Amino acid sequence: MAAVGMPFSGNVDFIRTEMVWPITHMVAPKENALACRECHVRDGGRLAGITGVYLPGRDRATWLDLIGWLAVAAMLAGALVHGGARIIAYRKR
Amino acid sequence: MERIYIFKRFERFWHWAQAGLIIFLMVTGFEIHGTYSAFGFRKAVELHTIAAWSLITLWVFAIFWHFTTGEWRQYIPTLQKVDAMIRYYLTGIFSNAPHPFRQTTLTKHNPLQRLAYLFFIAVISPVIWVSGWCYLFFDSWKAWGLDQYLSLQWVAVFHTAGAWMILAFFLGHVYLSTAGRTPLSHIKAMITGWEEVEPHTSSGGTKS
Repeated sequence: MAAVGMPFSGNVDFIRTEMVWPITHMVAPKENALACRECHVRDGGRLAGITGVYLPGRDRATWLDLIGWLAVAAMLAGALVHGGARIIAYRKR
Repeated sequence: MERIYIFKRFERFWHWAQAGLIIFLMVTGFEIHGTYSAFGFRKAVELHTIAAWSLITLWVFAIFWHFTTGEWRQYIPTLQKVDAMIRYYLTGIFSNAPHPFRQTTLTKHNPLQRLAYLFFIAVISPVIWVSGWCYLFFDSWKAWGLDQYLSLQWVAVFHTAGAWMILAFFLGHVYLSTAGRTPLSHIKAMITGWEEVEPHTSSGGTKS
């Protein structure tokens, strides 16, 4: 108060104010909000280079997938061979 | 030929509803895994979760039914005639040899089936369900003190391993469903409930 040359009553209190602040960036409309696929993709996601955390959809145990595909291929091959042999055996009778 | 009523109404409903849900869980699950894109990651997760809870609900009914009807006994594993079954599938089936196992209403599954379903119930199911629940409640690990013991990477590995086992089982199961008296007889039985079997010979034919 001394700075403006006015007497100071000794009382202090809160007062309601309203302020308007400018922001230095845009806020995207909700349709453009961050989608799951931006990070949870195998390649090219926003967190592609981040290490030390498991991210479903980006990370996987490639050794397990190899075993899995081999098992699936073996099942399909077995079904084709066995089923084919059954068809041939049936035709022969 | 004798017609026997081998699959009850609820059992058939359970089978096909479970099949649909498991297939849908695999389709959405492998998308979440990153194998392909179909529903979009977010939708795949939502649908996978809904299907999982639906399957749990179905299993509550199925477990209740199996317990109250006594049908759980049909799944008791046995090694009796497993060797004969294996020989049949390796050679006998090609020479139209008589099937070593005779289906009855009290023994609807052959010994190899009992072993396969035992493996599913005792190994594959616990792996997929326990890892799935850990995955589902990931956000609560810290609050429940589980973050000391669990790592998301290992939960994911177990859940993926379970998924591959189910996919492999599914392919084997669909193929073997054609290995009945005729290629469609088992499938028809799971739809209508009725199966045609060799008439029972009183002179002690092949007893299961």
